[in-house]
Amino acid sequence: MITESNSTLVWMKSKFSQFIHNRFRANEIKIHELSYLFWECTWRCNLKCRHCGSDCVSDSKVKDMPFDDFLNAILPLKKIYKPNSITVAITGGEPLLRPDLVECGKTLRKNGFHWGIVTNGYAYNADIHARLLSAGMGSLTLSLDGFEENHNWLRANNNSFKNAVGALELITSSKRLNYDVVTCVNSKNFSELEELKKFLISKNVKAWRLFTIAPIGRAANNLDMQLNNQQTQELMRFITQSRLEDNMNITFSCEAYVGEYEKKVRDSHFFCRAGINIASVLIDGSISACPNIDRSFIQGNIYNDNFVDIWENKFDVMRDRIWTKIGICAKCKDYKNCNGGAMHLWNSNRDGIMTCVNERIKQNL
Amino acid sequence: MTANRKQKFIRWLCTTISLTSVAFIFHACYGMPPGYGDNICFEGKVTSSKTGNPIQGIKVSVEDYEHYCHTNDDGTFNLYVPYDYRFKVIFSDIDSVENGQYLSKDTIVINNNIDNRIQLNVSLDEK
Repeated sequence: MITESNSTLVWMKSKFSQFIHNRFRANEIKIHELSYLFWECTWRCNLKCRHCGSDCVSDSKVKDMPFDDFLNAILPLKKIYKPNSITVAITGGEPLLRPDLVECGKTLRKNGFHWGIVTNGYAYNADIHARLLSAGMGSLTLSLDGFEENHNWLRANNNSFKNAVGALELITSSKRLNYDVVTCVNSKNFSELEELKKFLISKNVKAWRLFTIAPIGRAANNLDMQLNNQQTQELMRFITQSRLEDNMNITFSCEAYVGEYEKKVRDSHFFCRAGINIASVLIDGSISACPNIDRSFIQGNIYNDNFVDIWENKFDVMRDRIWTKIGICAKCKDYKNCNGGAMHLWNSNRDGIMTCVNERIKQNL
Repeated sequence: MTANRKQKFIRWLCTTISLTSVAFIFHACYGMPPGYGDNICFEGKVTSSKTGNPIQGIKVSVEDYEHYCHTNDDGTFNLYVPYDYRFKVIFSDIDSVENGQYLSKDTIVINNNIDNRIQLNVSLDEK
């Protein structure tokens, strides 16, 4: 029975947890230990997803970065970090389109780094699966955005669902590969979530992460991508309830602070670690944090700068985010917990966050 | 940078009070989760028992796992396998007569190597 004293206790526990997390976050910012590094290895892609934040295409004129350029930029990290404390996330575009992907991964592993890929699964087959594992791939994220009609719609390809499910079956059969499936929840696939959950459980998926679609890249002006306020709150309730069932680890992504749903839809508090623990080397050598962050936040370039110097001495805009206290954030009582939200929701104008999930949830209450 | 003592202490304090190590285990929004960090390098050389020459194209696979590779033209192989105390490795000639014909061989590898690297040289008998 929930009594008043119980609910007070829960509230106090929640506040205390958030307080400790905020202290933890401040400490982590001071340390800014690099532990996660994106490599945007290609802008080529075998799909043309409607929501692509990078606007990747099959015939991208932007050349793939030579692997040696990336490797030489990051090897100096070994002087100050244990390489096995750093995970390299190979992303794109579609990493599987790089013919040297296996060799790149093996070389990273030989140098002590852990690595994995983010893939749409379209070109994923048994052979590449075995070769990637044998090259030391330790983790993988696969995109699955609904059942056939809706997945194919979002991915703009009539075979993408079939191929993604084939990839899924390979991935879930691996005993020692850490992986998750990500779904970008939009107005079209929203009603499928319950059935999709059952489908993933039937395929022995262990971890499922749900996103909303940020209004960036190709999704910027597409209203079909966005959930309304009610759907946003229902999504939070769906995840909260599903986590209680304990069949699969289901989480909301780290894309946004979600107020009262913090710790209910994720294992930990919201913490955008872009520039704090996360960096990236982009296709043209630019040094930034997550690849979907606006390019105006680029901190340097591996072809002109020393990556380690940039990591240690730049990134102030991401380590001190007081500049985000503007627009709807200026007077928000949750600002100290949210700290301006996720970096990828800020554009070059820096005149306000593009969207606030917490605000959308609150407006529906 | 890496944490100094005070920062490490604050980190430890926060995670102890909150009774969670989840804070350390994260992955970026649009990235994949970190791996379990438990794959090790298994490498070596395959030669002919008769001539001592290296054999190219031998498939080196691990029982119960998908992992495999083929020997290079100098007979060497190199692949990452999940960390296990013991695993069974199979050497098989799958390219017909192209590089000669050899009998398959399998062997149990006991891993008590703390360097996360296992070296094994194998010789195969001709068919």
